[in-house]
Amino acid sequence: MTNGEDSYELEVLVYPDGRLLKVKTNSPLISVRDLLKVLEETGIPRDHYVIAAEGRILSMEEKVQAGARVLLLPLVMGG
Amino acid sequence: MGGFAGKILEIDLTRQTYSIQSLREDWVRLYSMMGYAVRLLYEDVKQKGRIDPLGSENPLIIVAGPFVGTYLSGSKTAFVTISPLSGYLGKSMMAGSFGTMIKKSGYDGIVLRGLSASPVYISIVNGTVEIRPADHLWGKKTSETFKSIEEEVGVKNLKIAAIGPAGENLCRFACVISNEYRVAGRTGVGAVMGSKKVKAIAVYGESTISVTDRKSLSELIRKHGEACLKSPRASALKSYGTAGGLVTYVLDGNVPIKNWSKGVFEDQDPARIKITGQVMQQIYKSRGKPCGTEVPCIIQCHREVYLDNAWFKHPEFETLALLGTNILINDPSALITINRACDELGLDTISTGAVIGWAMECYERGYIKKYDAGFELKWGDVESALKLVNMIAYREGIGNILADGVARACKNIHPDTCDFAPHVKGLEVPAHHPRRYHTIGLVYATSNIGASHLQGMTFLLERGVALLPEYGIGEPPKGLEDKVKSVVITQNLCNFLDSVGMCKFPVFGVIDFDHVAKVYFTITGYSANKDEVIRLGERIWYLERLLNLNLGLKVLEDILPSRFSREPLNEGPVRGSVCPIEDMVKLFYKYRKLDVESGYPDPAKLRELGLDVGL
Repeated sequence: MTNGEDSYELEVLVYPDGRLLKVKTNSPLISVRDLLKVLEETGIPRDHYVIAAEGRILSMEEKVQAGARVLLLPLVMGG
Repeated sequence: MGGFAGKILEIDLTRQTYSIQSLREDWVRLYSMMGYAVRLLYEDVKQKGRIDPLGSENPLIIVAGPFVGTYLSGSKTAFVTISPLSGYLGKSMMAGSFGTMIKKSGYDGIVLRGLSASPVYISIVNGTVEIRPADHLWGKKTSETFKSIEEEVGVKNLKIAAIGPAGENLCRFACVISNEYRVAGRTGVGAVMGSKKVKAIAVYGESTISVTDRKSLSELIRKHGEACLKSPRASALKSYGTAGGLVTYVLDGNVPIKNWSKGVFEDQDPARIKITGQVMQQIYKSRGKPCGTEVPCIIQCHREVYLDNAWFKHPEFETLALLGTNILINDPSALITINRACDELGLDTISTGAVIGWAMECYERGYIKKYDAGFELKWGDVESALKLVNMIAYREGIGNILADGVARACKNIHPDTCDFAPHVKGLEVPAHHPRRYHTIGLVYATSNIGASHLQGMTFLLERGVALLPEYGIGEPPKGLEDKVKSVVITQNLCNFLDSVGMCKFPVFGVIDFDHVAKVYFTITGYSANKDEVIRLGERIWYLERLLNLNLGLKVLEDILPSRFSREPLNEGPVRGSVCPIEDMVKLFYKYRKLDVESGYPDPAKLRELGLDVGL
């Protein structure tokens, strides 16, 4: 979704508290790796989280489209 | 020998006597303590041949490695025996302070031999060993047992490892549980203790645990603590415990759903998944704490929930997966109740969940009828699951069949049901998914105890959250060869950690093995680097393999249930994927230098490792 001539926006829903973050990008497609870098600037350490959409975790290389809503999950791996 | 007490307490239950044996330093150097226990078992098997796991000749060996009680983060005590599930090596690691107290009592381990004629418990207080009658405790649940023994022995900070009714009734996947609610869960060590009629072991000691260089060790512990605080993996575990992993793993396709036959849980919508650590923290008051009073862990993945005016153990990830997603239960209070029941009865929650999932599929497919069970075994039915848990522990009705584990139960119910019985070498498959992480499939297939994720936590490597650049794994393994190599390396490292008594959570993705080698040196005084560390673990892997071969292991048993390799799922994150296990096992044999016909290791490999057995 455009927001001005070269500004786009997507929504990031934070798990588990349900906060909704609006992330502005300058491209209609953004890789998960770049999205996590953008989020890191807001104080979310990128190594601690993964991005999920449509019921699965996205790989770092996958692209997210502007206007989409994705989920930010803490990466807890143990057990 | 810093880090070792130098003595093993041997208890002969048949004669009701005990003796103290000196540690053999050559074995300590070769294997450290868990490996030492395997070597003791190997010697028994060499003398006696195949051993009945529930008979008098099977020893139960409990050892605490040199890292135990040294104030490192995380501490594990090994329970080693012949497993009543597999007939091969059984071992399980218990977190918490039980091992620390064994060492503070002046021992590196306790060996239980023979069978007692009547129920007993063993009390070891400041070096005084007593074999006490336990008729009055037989039949009691674990919390009542702890309370009674604490009162009878009358010592503060007593550490107790006990069995519940499941162990008494020789349920083959019964566990041993401590009064800190830490569990030696896997491979049926509780059944072996039950066969010996040992209800509990209670230990208290005040001896100092020696280390070679305390000052350097303190500095290494400080650095390790800093690394724990910086590590994303460790901090996530600290925030949510292992239960916090459930939601991530569901979306990652790394959980069992409906006995591994489905790829989607609650439409993969995190808002609908109620059994995650995060949601449970919103519903219940909860807290993290070290896994034992003598273990100053920084991560504190062990969590408790506050219910009915008391703190109870929070279900771990494996429990939430096997008794939750696996049988389609999405109710947090039910999971807390079932988890508590398993702890009280002394059941391994992984095997219990796997057995119930398989039984529910049998019911759905018509192999088990309502009249067989006395009630319907419907997916997601909390009441049925809870009834089955109790029936298994007491071997009542169909529970008597299920208590033998899926490998035996499927032959009993109908041979066709063995096609969907989730086990390797008799040990039920834990929660990590071989269709998602192919390396974990190979870990299950080739582990010397059967399907155990803790014999090679390679899902961490494949996901990229823990890499091992010091061993050449600088990025997640992608190709088949790299995946197989990563399994071999990780199996060896897990064996090392188990043998020195170190928890894996504060290591993988937290510190490197150069650091671990330095810790090993400062504690034991044995000069070591990362290569010698992995060599020690590798040596144990081969020793375990030789033990199993002497017990009759066949090459064909290094395999996964066909569901993972031949039945792709048509939905969810792992849609279309199967684990290429046959190709992986072939490569594994090549890297491990195992004969493809007999499964025996190349003698040159054994010599290279300094092993004096199997030649």
